[in-house]
Amino acid sequence: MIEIKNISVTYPDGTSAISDISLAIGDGESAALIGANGAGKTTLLLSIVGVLPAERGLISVDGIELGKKSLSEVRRRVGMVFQDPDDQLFMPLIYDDVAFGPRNLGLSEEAVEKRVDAALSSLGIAHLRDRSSLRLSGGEKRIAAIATVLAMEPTMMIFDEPTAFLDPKARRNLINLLRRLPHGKLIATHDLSFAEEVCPRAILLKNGRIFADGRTGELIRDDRLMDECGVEALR
Amino acid sequence: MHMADALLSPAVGGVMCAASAAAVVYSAAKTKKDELGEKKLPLMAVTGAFVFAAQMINFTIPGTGSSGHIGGGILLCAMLGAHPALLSLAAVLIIQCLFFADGGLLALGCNIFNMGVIPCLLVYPLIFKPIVKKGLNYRRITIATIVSVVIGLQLGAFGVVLETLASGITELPFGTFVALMQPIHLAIGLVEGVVMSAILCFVYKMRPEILESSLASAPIKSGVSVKKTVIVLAAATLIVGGALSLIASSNPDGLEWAMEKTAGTAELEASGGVFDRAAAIQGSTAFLPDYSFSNSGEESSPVGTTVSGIVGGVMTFALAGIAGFLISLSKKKKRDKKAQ
Amino acid sequence: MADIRSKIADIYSLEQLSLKKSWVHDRHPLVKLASTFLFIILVVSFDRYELARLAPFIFYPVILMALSETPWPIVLKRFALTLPFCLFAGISNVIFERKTAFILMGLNISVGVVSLFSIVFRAFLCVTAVLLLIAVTPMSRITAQLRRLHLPDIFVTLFEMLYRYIAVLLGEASTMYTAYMLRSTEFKGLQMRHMGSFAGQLLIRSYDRAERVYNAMKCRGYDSFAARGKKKRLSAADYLYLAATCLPLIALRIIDVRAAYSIVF
Repeated sequence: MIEIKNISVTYPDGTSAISDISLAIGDGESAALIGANGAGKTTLLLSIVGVLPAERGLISVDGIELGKKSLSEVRRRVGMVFQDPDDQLFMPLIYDDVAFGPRNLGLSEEAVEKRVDAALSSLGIAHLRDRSSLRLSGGEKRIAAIATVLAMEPTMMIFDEPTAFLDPKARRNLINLLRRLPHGKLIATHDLSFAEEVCPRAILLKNGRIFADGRTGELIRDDRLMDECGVEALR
Repeated sequence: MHMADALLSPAVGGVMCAASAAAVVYSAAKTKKDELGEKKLPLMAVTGAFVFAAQMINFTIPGTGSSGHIGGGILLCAMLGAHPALLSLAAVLIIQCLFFADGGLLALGCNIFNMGVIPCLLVYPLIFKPIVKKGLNYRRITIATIVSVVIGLQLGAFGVVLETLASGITELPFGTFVALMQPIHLAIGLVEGVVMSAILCFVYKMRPEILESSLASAPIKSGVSVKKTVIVLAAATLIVGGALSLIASSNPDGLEWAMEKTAGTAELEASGGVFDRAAAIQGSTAFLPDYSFSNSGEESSPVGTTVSGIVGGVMTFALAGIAGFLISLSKKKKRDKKAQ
Repeated sequence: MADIRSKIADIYSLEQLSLKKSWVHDRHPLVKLASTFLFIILVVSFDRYELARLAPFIFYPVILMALSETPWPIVLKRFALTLPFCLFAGISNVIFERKTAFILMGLNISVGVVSLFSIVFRAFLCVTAVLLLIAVTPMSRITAQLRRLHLPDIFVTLFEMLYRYIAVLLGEASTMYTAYMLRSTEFKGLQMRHMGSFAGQLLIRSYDRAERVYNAMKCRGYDSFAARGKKKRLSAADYLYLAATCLPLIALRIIDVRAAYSIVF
């Protein structure tokens, strides 16, 4: 579970990115993070894994408070899937990409191999094991990127725009897959119908603050609410 | 400016490989020690890939197809600092060698030296940095880049001349070679310098902090290290070069000499039969006859031997071709069988 | 930008080849690296007038190409790329060395001509050898081997990532270029005055990508250049490969095959 209490993040140039955000995502709960471009969705996600340090407030994962010493433990527990899979797949082979995390955990090569195979087969992409990321389709890349995170055996997963660049079939495939994953999830997305299918709960961000928090089906159909946040409501 | 294996002698290739390897290892240690080194790794990889891609865009500029690396080197230095830039450039050159046959494997040492070590460890600290020392602005960036690229390219081209001539593969006189290479690369350097300065000015306009941070972090640490680098490099080159040239001067063909030493006469006795007769034909004195066509023309060397050499060569090719064909054929048969 | 696309295609096709299965593909990268280096050093160790003794070296690429089922067109294309400078050096030899080497069917063949052929032939051999190495050995196995040879880990990791991102950046550059061309009236390619902002834009995008990549790496516990990769021992087949390639090559270098020719023919 992820608990966030009153955190604020400021960009290096002094402008405020997110301010005074508090929320909690329980084990196995799926929540969507919705908001216009620049509302602070990515910033919030990056601060949870300690990439962007919050200057105020507390973040804890499974009861472990994010700090210098606990950084690697928090990152192991929270897996982040980036918006562009090309940022996450940086090795010549998919195998090496998925093994990257477990190897950094200091596991033996046999244990690493087990983890990689488990991650790949649970996502149904065992056949991509010895392929290079050069020639994968957008959908395959996305799932491979998820595998790189799954291999860390996290308890929570956070996603940044997971449906970006996907065709309808790959998107459908991803929806089914995410619904099957038992982890607690926080998913930043512009794709409202996707949010509705995967996440029962939605959190609406506006200018770096939480504007609304409630049931996805109701929030995304609230014209006035969505309009105020610069998002077009779903009809 | 990429040198090929075919124009190199093992001695020159070896010396340059040793020198470049020393520079790369040294730079790797330097980069690793740098507290930002780890953070720079993806940056090094991606900007290195940029240099490679940028080279492709260059094609409207006449003649730049040959290079782009010296300018790229200066660009990388400005963004990353000298040592990470060298690593990045060396990696680019290795990829080009392996995947695109741009420059040979043995020639990597020469290529990394000419296009990496020279711009990154010599030109950047000695020319680029002093010019922009007083602070960045468009004028200083432009001047520093153009001057550095031009000088770097001149030095690099001169390196190519020296390495090629030292290898003794081409008969081109030094003067002619230099007169051909330097002016061409002066022109290329000017164009490349202008392009690189335009890129750096754009970066400075959009994101001044990128150049500022790389420049700010560098001087304190690397003021001494540049000297050290040059010393390490010079020492490595001298030792290896000295040893190899010693061998080479007493024996025109160092490798042949080394092999004669190691293989010794045992090999000769063991080969027996056919080769005894062969040796008799070749002239019984030399085990490894220093064969050269220039003698054969003037002296009594029978044309018959030469013709048999040509026929032998052609037959060898034919034999090799047949062998290759047979292997492919049997492979195909096996595949067909499996398919059935 | 056909040029960029063809470069990407080159990387793809070589990678496809390296993932094939054959006896040569299965060999340990170390022995393949060793025999490639030995081959090149031996080839370039002959003096520049040597042609007859170089000829048998053709067996090495021909047999390995056949065993690994590597197609020849790729080799020839790469060979063509390296030709200009070799021809330049070779032709200058033709001009400067006019002494007669031998007379063939009434034609005076000069020393320079012989060396021209020698240079071109050795260029062919060396290019083929490097191509063979990369066509039968997947990149990841080469880099794992480089690590085991104690090359600095930071350099090997850099190399792996660079290899990966060259394709990504080439793709990005090609997309930007297409967008540029669609809006330009003259179809002459990128103009000089746009070069700075075009390439600069690409560079800044690259810079930002590097930042994201680094974040993605950190999120998976990356904090030091940890040694990685599984050790693999040399098998009997690997030693066999080493012996089968290196011993004949060394023998060809020591023994003067011209003598054998003159006996056989």
